[in-house]
Amino acid sequence: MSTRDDIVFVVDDDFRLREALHELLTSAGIDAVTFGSAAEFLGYSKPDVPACLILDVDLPDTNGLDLQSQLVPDDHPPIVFITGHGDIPSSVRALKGGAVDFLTKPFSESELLGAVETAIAQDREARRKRCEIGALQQRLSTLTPREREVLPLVVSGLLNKQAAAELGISEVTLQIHRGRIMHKMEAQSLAELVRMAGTLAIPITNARR
Amino acid sequence: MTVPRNGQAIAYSHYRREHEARVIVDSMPGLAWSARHDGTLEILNARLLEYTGESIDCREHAGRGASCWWTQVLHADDVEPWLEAWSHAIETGEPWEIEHRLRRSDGTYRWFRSSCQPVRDRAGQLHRWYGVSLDIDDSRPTQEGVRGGDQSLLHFLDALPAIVWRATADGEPNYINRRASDYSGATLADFQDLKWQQNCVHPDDIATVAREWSRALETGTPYDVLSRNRAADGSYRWFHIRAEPFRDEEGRIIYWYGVDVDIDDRKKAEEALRRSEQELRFLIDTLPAMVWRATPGGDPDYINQRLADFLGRRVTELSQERWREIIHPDDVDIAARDWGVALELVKPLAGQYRFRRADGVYRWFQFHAEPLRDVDGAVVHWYGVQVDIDDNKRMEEALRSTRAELSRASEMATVSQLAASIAHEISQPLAALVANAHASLRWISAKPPNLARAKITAERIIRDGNATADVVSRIRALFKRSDACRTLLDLNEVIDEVSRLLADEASSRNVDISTDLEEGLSPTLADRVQLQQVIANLARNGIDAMDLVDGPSRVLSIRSRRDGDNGLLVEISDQGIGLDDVEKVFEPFFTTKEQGMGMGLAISRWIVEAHQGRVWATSNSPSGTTFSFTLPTSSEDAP
Repeated sequence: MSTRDDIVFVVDDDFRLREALHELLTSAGIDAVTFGSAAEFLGYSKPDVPACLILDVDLPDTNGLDLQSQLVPDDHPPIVFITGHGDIPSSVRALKGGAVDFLTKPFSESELLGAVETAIAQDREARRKRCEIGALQQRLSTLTPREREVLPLVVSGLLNKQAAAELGISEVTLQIHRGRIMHKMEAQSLAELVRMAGTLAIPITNARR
Repeated sequence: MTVPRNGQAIAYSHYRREHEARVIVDSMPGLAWSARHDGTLEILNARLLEYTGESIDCREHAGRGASCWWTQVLHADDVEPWLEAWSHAIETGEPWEIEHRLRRSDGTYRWFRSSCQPVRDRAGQLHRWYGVSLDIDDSRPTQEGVRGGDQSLLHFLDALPAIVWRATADGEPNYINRRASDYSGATLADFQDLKWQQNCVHPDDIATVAREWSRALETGTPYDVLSRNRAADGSYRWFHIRAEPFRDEEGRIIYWYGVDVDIDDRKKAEEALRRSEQELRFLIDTLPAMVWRATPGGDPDYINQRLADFLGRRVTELSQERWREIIHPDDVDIAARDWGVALELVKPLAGQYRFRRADGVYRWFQFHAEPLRDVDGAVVHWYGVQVDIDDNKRMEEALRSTRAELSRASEMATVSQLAASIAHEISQPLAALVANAHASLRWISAKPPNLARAKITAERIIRDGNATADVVSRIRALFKRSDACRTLLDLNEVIDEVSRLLADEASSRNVDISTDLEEGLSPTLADRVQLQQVIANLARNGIDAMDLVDGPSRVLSIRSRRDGDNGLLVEISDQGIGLDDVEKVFEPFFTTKEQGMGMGLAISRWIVEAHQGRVWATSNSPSGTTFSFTLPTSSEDAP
């Protein structure tokens, strides 16, 4: 019945809560997969879709917070922590570690679903960004070494003349390089190229004086 | 008596002469005989025949041949010298003399000295030999046989398992047995060499040996020394050397007879024994324990050095009940009783008593005693060992009190721990319950409603609700359990205990605890641990509340008061941040603190109410909160 392309992973050792969360998420039209332990979750081959991880702090095999710090950054779904007794240090640690929310049981439907939606949105955005960066990096890799020298100068906002002087080449040659860069990077405008450079974290070496 | 006939050719006158001569010869106080010039026996006197018990036909027996009559009566060892003497005499015509043994008719040999004189005719021709044999056996010392060659005695002396020697009156050795020469590898001549004598005695023993020997020679008293004598291979062995003088009838010393007995093995065994005894004593004195021995009656008769050093007494200062002085006055009666029982029943004893050190300090000892019995079961001795366990004992005591304090502290700590675990226990099913409720609602409100799923979730809600209720009853049961632990308590005593326990924590957080306790309060029937928990919980709560307040006066005051006729009141006041809602504060999960479950006060209330008391909070002016609770006094104790 779900028309959504996302999924929620629930890790909690209490079967009643796993059951209840699965029910709640399903009733909200969200696919959910539940696990009784961290090991079960880690052993599961996860589909490549936007996701969220609801993680109990007290797990039989490990502490949820420890699991969080063990997971590779940017390679796991955003985490919503749930706990039987939420103390401040734990929640601070969780949130500093990148958790979306830290919910103390019992929590309300809106708290949970809100956090889940936020997490999924975050993941969706992160995935999109990862995807975009991947594409841009692909394009960037087609540039020649000279074009790679020209790119930072151009996106730094230098005039053609200034950039040409910087590299000790003629303005015409620079314009040819620039045209090829725009073409290869599939940029419609200089503004778009600048944005791409930002996404790729290309350092702006020579700001306009 | 048989009288030999010499021949028919003898004329009567001649015979008469002969007869007279014969009478003379036969009546001589000695053995007499005559032989012809060639040594052929002619006449033997009656005494000789009587002595030997042998008859003779002289014509058949030459005096010189191997088959001569003498060979039958001479000692086998003396035959050869006898025959030699004869042949020499006949050749030279010279008189001769020889000492020899002659067999008596009863088979024993006696020593004789035989002299033989030649008689010549007018022409100087050797005509006859006249011989006489005198019994010298009695005048000859028996030991003369040694020199004289009594082979059996020599064998006997050589076979003796001792060195046997003889020395002259002035100390010069003149006989050694074979064992002496075998052992020393020396001859009699060597023994006679003074220099050699000195060399054969161990250098360390020479002085003693020389002194004793000269003393013996001078005084004529027996000689008796132990010395190491060198063997042929250069090694030394211990000998017990004794010598006694042999005197003649006038009391003059003729010889010294000595025996050296090899006592080396015994000596070494004795030394080994002494050494092992020394080692044992050393061991007993150095082992890190105190060892003693007592008589069957219980009087100490040996204590090792370590024990003597510890007590600063000798064993003689412990007998006759004086051992009581070394045991702690508090232990002495127990020790005496234990010891008495052990002696009476002859049973091993083990106990722990304090013993008085020389400097007056008492130390704890583990004390063991065991009887040693003889084959009949009678006690020979009591043996004991005692080990200083004072340090262990002190450590044990310290540990015990620490443990007691720790358990008290942990009982206190359970309030927050319990709160956390209760919270977890309840929140778990509660969270499931809430989630199911939401899901159920969603299924109902869905378009179209999914009633089947809604029903399932509703059923789960009931299940989780019951689970939550179970948790609550479990907690209730937990508190009910303590009914059995209720005792009559002095409330002020409990407050004191808690203040002491919290003192460190409070002072580390810069809070003073002041108590104001009313004297003479009636006791209350309560569970001590739970009451401690309540007071500690409320007190901690107050201390926590003052954490956020800066001020000169951070005092937590605890008061106890009489409350009506049958009640007690405790007030715990802080000067902290105060409470917004003094009613809600006892509800579970209510907390104003950053860290906390909000269960502590709830539990406190449960406990107080379980004791038929009441608990409440009031705001102080200008700041802070006072937590109060009441408890009923015990009706049992009502006047």
